[in-house]
Amino acid sequence: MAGGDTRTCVEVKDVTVGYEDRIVLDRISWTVPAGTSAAIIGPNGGGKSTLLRTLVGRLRPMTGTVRIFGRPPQEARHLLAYLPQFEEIDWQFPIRAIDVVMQGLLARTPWWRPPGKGALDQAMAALERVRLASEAQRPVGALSGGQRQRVLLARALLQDAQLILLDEPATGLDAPAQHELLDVVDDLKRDGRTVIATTHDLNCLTDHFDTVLCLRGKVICQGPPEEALKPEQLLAVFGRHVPLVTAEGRVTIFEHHR
Amino acid sequence: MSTIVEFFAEPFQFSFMTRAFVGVSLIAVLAGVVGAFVMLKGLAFIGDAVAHASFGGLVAAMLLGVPLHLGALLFALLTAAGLTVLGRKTGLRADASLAILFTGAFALGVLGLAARPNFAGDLTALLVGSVLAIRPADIYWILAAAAITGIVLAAAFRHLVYISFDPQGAEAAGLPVAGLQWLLLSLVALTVVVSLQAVGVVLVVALMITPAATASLFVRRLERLMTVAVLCGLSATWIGLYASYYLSTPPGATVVTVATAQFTAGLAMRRLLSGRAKLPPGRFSGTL
Repeated sequence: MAGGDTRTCVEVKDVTVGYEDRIVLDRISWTVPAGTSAAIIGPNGGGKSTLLRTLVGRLRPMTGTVRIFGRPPQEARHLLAYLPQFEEIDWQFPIRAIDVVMQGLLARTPWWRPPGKGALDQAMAALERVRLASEAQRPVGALSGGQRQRVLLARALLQDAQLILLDEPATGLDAPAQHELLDVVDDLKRDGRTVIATTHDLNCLTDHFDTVLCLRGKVICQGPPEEALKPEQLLAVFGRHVPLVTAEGRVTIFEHHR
Repeated sequence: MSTIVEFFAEPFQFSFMTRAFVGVSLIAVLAGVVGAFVMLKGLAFIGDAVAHASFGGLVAAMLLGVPLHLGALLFALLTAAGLTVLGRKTGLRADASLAILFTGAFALGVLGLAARPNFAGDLTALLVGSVLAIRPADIYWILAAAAITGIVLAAAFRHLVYISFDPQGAEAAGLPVAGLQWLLLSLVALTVVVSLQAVGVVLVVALMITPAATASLFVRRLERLMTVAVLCGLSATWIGLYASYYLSTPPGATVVTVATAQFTAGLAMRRLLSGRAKLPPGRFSGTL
């Protein structure tokens, strides 16, 4: 695609998107450099998931353009992996963790080609990287919430996705599980992969995400967490006061938002 | 000793019984494999709907004088396509799309039937099936369906698993989710249509769902679930057909009754075992 800057992973320009009867996001612009991580925060109905659905090409913008590595989302699918909200996946489906990871190959090999000899080793290596090699043979339904998310990240690794989108990955995870997940996210970033996550949980942001996008129908603020997460801006995003303290460059928020 | 052999061999002196055993056994294999997906994805009602919709195609085929299977298959595939399209394009709830399509197709069948009332006897047979009237041609149809299903699964089994487990993730990664969903529904349609003659539109759903549900009580891997479902379906077929022969009961209904009894026994066995052995949490664990 002409003018596609490979250093820019996501470029959203003047995008309006919504459903038949209502506009959810009004003329938003946003850029995510390749190899960085970005968190999308905002109240329910603020447009976080809608933006992710637009990035994966499920929703088409009414105005403006979306580019993933310089291409329209529909042409960039092999480059991206999307982890939907927890309840969108049938976790009781009778497959093992390793089978889920192997699905990553389907996106980048023709349908008639069976997985090659090396495929299983690659899948095991991906599980190893998310620290789940010992769980390979277990049914996914028997894994904890955090382990399930990491299995999906291993699948994204096998797919060799360059952009990984997570919709509310922290929901329902306790603090240790969240940290394990975010450690994996950091690890993916070290490969040069770009990670974008929506979240309600503001505390993890300063340590793990390079930039924040605050959405409430439009862009309220964006930038590095320590700049974007100012009290007055959080008030504008969530519509009420959010207690927070800033110390040594870290922002800590004293409340969860639902 | 010889009496036991005679007991098992006696039904086979009748060629219609031999065809019944062969035909229903093949259906049990086909329905067990396809039924695993149907049961896991909660498509049971869709199978039923496709079966009813194909009734419209049967009547149309009769009136036009073309092979019945072709008419039924065409209606069933169109229903499957309609379901895929309606669900994705209109946002209509799946059960509503389903009800509109299959009652519409069924009504067409009834209208067609009213135009030619003299066909009524044959069509009743197709609704409830007539195991003992399986013709060699029916067996060829079932074999063809099994071959097609085998080829499709050999090529796309992992894709179908992916879209069943995580449709949104699969779509984002570039898999043709709508096409694969239609493919899965088409396999259901194919299974239903070729089973019509033998077990009828009403009972074919039981042969898809019940053995798979029984298997799901005990295994937690799809490949094994299919294997166990096929074994359950086959044993229900054989026990049912022998019972039907010696007790003079309707064969199709007898087979389904045996399958239902297997499921009930499975539930009871699970409850007994769950106290001692570590059993996987199954789909029915909530009811135990």
